[in-house]
Amino acid sequence: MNRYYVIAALAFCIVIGAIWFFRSGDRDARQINRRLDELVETVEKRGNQSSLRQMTQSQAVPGFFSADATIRMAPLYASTLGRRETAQTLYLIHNNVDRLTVRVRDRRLDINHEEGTAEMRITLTGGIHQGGRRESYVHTFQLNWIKEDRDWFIRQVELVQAIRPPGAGPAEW
Amino acid sequence: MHRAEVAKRNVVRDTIRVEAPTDQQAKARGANWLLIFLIGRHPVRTLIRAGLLAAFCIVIFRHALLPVVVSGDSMYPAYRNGQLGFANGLAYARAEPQRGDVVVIEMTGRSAMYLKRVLALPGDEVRFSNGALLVNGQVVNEPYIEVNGTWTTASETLGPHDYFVAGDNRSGPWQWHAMGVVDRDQIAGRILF
Repeated sequence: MNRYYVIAALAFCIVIGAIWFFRSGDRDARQINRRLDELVETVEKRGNQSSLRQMTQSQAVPGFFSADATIRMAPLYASTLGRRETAQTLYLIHNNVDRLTVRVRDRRLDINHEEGTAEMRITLTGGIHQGGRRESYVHTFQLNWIKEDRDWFIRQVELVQAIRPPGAGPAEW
Repeated sequence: MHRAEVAKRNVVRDTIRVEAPTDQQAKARGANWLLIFLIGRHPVRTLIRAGLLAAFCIVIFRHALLPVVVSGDSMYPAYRNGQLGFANGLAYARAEPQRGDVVVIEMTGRSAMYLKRVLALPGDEVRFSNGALLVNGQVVNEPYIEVNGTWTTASETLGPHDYFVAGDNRSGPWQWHAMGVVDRDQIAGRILF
């Protein structure tokens, strides 16, 4: 009987150790991943959200970006946006859809600790719910981060086309 | 001692052996049975087996047999929204993708991938003209298409590592679809079923 408890304790320790090992990575990486998760939560819209909450959410968006941030979503959205325009666009989107879900499926992060910059590639999936219809999407983005005052901010967002459409020129993959 | 008497004594002794257990004993037996059910009679062996099984599953399902859930109708009618399947992650370890292969294409990782059909290979010149697929100037017969559509695209000559892919569902303008050129490294495997 005692042997069972020893084995169970050993297995428990292995599991805890594995969790600790995988979670205790680079501190900057943890911070960037946390910031991204917070941004995703801010961008999402759950059903029956009050307009006050929508406004609060969109006002929180600029806080994730550096002052000189550029957001390029071509060909989905032609213009290059700054952080304020992004917040306004998000507010408009939230006003026009019933629900917006965002899920980060894959993320690849490369941090340059000396320069205080990081490059991240993410794939997002989700759905836009409007009037009983759901349109699903999958997009890949390149995010460039910069460290300012011990915190990480997004400096550039660019939509990456994993499949290069005909006539789009050489691949940048 | 007489034989019948010995037999009688044994019966009496056996009867005593199968005496009903107390509540405490029954509970202890129940707990033992549960432990044996959960971690077996040899816990160390069970632990090793479980570890090996977990490692085997991780290797198989991450690299060899990739589980796929189809989302969207871009491969309709061959693959429908919500359909489950598997992709062979080792299909192109020693071979190259061929025309007509249905492949999974990596974006950032393997949690979300595109499912597309290979239409043209490295070195090919490919384009669509009013819905017809032309590879090296020849019209390609595509029996897997239900709706041909009216796609017309610029001609594309593929580089040495480029593959031209598109979905089977050609409804709507081509700009609405994810179709075009992918690098060989992005092709993660071939769909099995």
